[in-house]
Amino acid sequence: MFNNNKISEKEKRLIIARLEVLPPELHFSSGNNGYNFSRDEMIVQVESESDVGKNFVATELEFLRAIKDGSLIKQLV
Amino acid sequence: MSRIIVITNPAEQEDAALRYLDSWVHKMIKLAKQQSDTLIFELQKDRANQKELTQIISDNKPQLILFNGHGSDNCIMGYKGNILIKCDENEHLVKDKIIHALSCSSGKELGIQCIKIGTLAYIGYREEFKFVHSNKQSREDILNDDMANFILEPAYEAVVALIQGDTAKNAYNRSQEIYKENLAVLITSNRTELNTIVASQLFHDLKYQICLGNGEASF
Repeated sequence: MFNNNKISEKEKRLIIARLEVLPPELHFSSGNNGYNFSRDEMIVQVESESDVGKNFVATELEFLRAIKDGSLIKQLV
Repeated sequence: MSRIIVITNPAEQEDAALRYLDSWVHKMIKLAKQQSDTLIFELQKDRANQKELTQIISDNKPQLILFNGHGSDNCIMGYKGNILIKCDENEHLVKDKIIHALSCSSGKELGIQCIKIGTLAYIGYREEFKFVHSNKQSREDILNDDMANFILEPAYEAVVALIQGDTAKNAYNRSQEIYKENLAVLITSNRTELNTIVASQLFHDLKYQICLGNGEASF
């Protein structure tokens, strides 16, 4: 589902900006490879375009697209 | 005839995801013990391995199996990555049972394969299960972690419903409803961390949760 293509610089900056406003104590976990990253560690993952970072960006962009195209609101009604 | 549940719980405390799942498993076991005529077998820590799972299923013939742990498209894991169930290997173990798998992506291939071989119903996720949390350590703090609860509460609502005897479809719907309620709270919040990242992670889990098989199956 998530492509492994390069993240655009614009996308990267956007997602990092969204991460930077979070409280530093927040952590992200997933059950796939057992990662547990703090806010700052996830910023590094996104910046370095690791698989975790690209996956995180893909999730964020999917959410933003769902807001834009109205499909998120449709889920709620 | 007794209602029999098997629950897997790697409970590796150094792994934050498994530490959080462990606390919720503990809560689910308490709930199950309140149900009448219900036996629950927990495969915790290093007992969450394939050999013990196979034995306990063979000896006790559970109707409901609740998997908690890491996973991938074609498998569910136990303690230290020990594979519990894998496509084309031992999915026959879960024939005629209802499965709930809080394991990343296992709904994508394993879930489908399980239904093909006769699993009654499979509730799980066809992509990674993700959540945000405050990295709490104790069970009490974990269960009171508001950030994590936005996602873990709806995720485990499906388990609550199944334990209470609801159908698979209703269990899935109950879970989805709370996901949606929480999503509405998050996107309308004036707290930036909630209306951005927590909302997006929840939306992902809401979107990729699945219910396969016979929706009318119940435990």
